[in-house]
Amino acid sequence: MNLNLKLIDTRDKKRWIKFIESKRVKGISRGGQLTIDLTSIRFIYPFQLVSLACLIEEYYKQGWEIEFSNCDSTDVCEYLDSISFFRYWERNFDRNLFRALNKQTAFCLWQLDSSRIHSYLEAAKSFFERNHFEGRSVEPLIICLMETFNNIIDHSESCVFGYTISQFFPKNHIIRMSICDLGIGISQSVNNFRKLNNDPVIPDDDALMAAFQQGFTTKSSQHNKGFGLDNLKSAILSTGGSLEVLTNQAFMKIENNTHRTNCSQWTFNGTLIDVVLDTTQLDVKDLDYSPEDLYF
Amino acid sequence: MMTVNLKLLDLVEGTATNVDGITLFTEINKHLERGNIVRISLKGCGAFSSSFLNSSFGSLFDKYGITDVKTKVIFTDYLKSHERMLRDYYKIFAKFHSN
Repeated sequence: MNLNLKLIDTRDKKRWIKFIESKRVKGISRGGQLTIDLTSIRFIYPFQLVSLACLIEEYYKQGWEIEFSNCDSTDVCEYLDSISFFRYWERNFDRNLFRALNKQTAFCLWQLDSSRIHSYLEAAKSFFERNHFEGRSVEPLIICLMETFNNIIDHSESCVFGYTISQFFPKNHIIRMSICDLGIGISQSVNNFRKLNNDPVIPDDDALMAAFQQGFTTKSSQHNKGFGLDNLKSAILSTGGSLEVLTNQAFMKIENNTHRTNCSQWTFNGTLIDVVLDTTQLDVKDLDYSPEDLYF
Repeated sequence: MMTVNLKLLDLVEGTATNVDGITLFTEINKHLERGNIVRISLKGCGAFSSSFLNSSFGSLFDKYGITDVKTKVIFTDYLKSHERMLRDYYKIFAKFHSN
């Protein structure tokens, strides 16, 4: 069986995710060839890459061979080539080499692997601090990566482990970090917990909002204490950045410490998190270790 | 009672995961059970994830109580960012899990 997947050219996050959800494997037979048709793509954002990677991975896991065609835009082609996107689903491709050239602005696409988290974080930190932010600390980015990785591992129940990529946009002085999984979704996870406690199910946007409240936990694991998503939010706001989350029927944007949520008429079975960090607000790298004893 | 000096990065690969947090908890717990004080050097450490903190210090707070841990676990060779993160964590933990 051959399937041609022609991508749509849009920067509208909701429209893009609706498109991705409509192309999920559900009900499609195993095996065959999936061709990703890039004809209309003129620009591709990190949130598009990670969600597309999740979709492709879903087919790949079902035994489909992956091909790419009609990449008409030289810029898009060169970019995708530089992050090894075209080779990612080749059988002999090593996903844990974290390839990134010094001149690049994107730190490589990566499928989350719990045994390689430290290596990835070290490589990402080193890449950005060495090539783009000498003398400054990318700690807020590292916190965002850690918290979203752990959130997926602990709560997502995802058939496709998350994909992430981080990209620096020098003209806008921002880093965009996107991460996507095809799990049960944050709102669903909150409502599953409520059902277990005989609490009524709440709308997805309210459930998503609840998940970001400090101290709220679904106790998916014994160690969960409800600090992770709040820590993510704090790290972003510390740089004057913003956060957008699309999950189930909910959409949330956090910016300048204000939350805006709404619900859509369609459901995304997964979670997309899109972070923007203002790099002009990154702190000077602190190397001054205090030898004093610290008590609390 | 003696003071045991530990270097965090000699014990764990990083400070991102639960696995590392559990490793740290196990090591500190061993010394606290013997009635010792533990001094931990944070030299070379990066940021802490909430999962790491929950599985290490959070678990110690659950077992010994936050007041007891405050007097028996000391930090050294730390950056301002470490101090801020740990102070915040102790404060938030006390707020939601006071004992």
